[in-house]
Amino acid sequence: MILSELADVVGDEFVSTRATDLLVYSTDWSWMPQMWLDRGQAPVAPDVVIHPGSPDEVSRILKIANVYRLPVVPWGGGSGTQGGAAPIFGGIVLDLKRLDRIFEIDERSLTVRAQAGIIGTQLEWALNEKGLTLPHYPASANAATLGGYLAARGSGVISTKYGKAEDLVLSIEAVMPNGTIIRTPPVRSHASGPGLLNFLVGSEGTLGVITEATMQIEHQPETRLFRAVLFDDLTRALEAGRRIMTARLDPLVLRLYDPNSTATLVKRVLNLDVQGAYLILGFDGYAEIAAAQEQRALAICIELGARDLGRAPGEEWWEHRYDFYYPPLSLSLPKMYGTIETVCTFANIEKVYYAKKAAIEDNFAAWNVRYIAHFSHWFPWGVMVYDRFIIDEPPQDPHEALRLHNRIWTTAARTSLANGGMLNEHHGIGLKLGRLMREQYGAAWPTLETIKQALDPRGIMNPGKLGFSL
Amino acid sequence: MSLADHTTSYELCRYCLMCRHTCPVGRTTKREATTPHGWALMIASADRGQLHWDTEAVDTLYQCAQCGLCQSNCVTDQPLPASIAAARAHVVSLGLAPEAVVALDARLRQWGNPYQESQPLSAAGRAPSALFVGAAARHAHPQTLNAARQLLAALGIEYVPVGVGLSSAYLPLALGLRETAQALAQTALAEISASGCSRLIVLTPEDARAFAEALPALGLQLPEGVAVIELMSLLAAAVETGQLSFRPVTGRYTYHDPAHTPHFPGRAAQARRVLAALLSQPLHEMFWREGRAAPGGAVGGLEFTQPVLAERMARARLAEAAETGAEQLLTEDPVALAHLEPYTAGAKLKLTGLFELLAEQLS
Repeated sequence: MILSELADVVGDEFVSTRATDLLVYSTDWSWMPQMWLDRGQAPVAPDVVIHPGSPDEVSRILKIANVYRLPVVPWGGGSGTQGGAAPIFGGIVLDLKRLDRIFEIDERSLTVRAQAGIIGTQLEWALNEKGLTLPHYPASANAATLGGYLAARGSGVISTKYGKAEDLVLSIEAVMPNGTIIRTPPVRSHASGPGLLNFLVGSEGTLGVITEATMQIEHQPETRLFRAVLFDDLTRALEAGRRIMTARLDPLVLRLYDPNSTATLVKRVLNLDVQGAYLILGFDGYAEIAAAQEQRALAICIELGARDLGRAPGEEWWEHRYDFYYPPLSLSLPKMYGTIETVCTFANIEKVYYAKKAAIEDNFAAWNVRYIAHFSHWFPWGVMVYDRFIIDEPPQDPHEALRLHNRIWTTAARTSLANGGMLNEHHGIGLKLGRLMREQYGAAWPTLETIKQALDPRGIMNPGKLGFSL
Repeated sequence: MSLADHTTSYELCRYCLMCRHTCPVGRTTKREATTPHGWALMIASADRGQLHWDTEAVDTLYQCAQCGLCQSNCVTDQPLPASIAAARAHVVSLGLAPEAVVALDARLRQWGNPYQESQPLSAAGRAPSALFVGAAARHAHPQTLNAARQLLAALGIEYVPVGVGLSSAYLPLALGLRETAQALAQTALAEISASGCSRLIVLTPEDARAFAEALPALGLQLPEGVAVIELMSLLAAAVETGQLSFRPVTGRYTYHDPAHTPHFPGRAAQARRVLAALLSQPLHEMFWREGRAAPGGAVGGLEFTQPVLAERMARARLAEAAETGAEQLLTEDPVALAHLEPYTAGAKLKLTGLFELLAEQLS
């Protein structure tokens, strides 16, 4: 009966209970469901996969889901690493990729209005045809959707200059849990009440379904300059980054690899055999301005003892910046791994880094855990540390493996919180970190819970995610 | 190679999403299951006993177009299309191939082509070059062959036609029909060998792949010293040196890169050099072109095994062509020309064979 009602909304072709669909949508890009499948066990699958073709269809599906109290998991590219799109209670997976139209490219205001299901690289290519770019270059762009960029508050490799996805959005259209279709005000900067836009951005499908967004875009820059420098120690490299950011030199890229990453990732992917803290500097825009910014930044690095490696390794990194994410160069099963990244102020960053490194390496030494990190998204006030743990030979029993995985995550996250960091900077919370949201928000958490319950009283929207009570 | 020989590839691809944006089938269906990682995950899951090759799963496996865009866009060059073909061969060996595939196999075995109940013509004579005609240029869109003959004459190339009306091994290999692929390949190889050629000219990138890649996958190889070259490459070189020129045509044209174009770096540029020598106005380019060139549904046998999907892809391609503002859509691929033609009625667009137009406009 329910399937029939759903098919009445979108058509038979776009309602699937095929075994292949249920299998493939049972896992997103997070380690946990992939591990279950890898070990021959099935994660929880959706009951049905639906491909709506309009916001109105999304609305009608949510109304049906409310009647029958069915979980609804919005699905963009499924490229999230935190289990945000894993359908852990079954129900409906709502794949939004039919909503892939570009409505308008406003070359005067430099904005693009597009539906949320368009894949990032496809949107980027369309903008490139006009000499434009959406300056959000996440490694997941080939899979992630525009809606996914916003739902998980993503960052891209040039966020240091252009901001995160949340900084690039002007307005959105969303379908609220009760099926109401709303539009946020046309611009994000105003003094016309609280930020409704910011409320939905980052909600990971728990407060509604983003169906359209208007994003700020840019002209392709006249030039992009890259170079690499090498520091003997991480402390001086972090200080160089801080000085560059607080001097407002506006770098496109500041990508600093800690000594472990320099010795492993940089060597393996970029074929560069160096020791120390490897820093990529990037600047873009008008050639003379970018060159001047670069010279100032380089002078700061040299003053702090860095060795200039020249342009070639920086350009090599830019050319191969996504290679790190292609197998077999990327982390993959049967290894155990997690990106336990966080963000904090400059005052706390070394404390956070060394505390997490020690917490991981000391507490899980029996598993020969490795801890690697880079610092890749910088702000005028601080920086995120993209740190990871890796265990090459984890337990084979899936329950034991998951238990260990959770223990490491909990240790890392609590260490971040204890030293002034956040649970996460740009991968989101999803299922993996939900249990720690109360610790992050403290007395403020019930406020978020109250809002969730008011908007979604039947609890249909992506249950089990972001730590919201069921 | 058995499916087990491909384990590394599909295990690596099952959770990788880096090529999904290029998959023309995934873009059409919007289903995760019909994207590269979806197919890889299915095959890996079947290995683990988590998926059974029932009718639905086999049908999904056979929705891959085998266009190779995923591999062409993979930094580490994972041969997932070959893995999918191997999984299909496994399914065939279990007697679980879809009816349409079984029927196509029977036609290929009996007639050597999927189009007509007509045997391939036997090759005769010897020459420094051989032209592999294939099945589509003989049966589906014979104007391509006539035009190719005129162009080769203009180039002053002496050649023997081989494989006239004979499918290359690419189609059956892609469908998991290894025995049929082997038989077709051996027939073609015998003719090539008898021709005494040192150069094998082919009409499409797919045929180039058939000889460069499908043969080795079947444990076969071209006679020693025989090099494969596309007619388009010869034309581009002749245009550059001034050996060939064309009377310019007026009007608004767009161009459909043949399937498998992205597999050959520089191939798309060659076609555009030839087009620039022909057109009096700049080409109205489509979005899915060159390195991201999308097939129009006639690839990997989809037009025979998945006709609904193939039609959707064809209509999408024609719609994209029309959106450029062009009046005519050019392509030299006879498979694409035959497949797209029935859907042009409502597209406000005329479909024209590029080789035919070039032959007409020879100066």
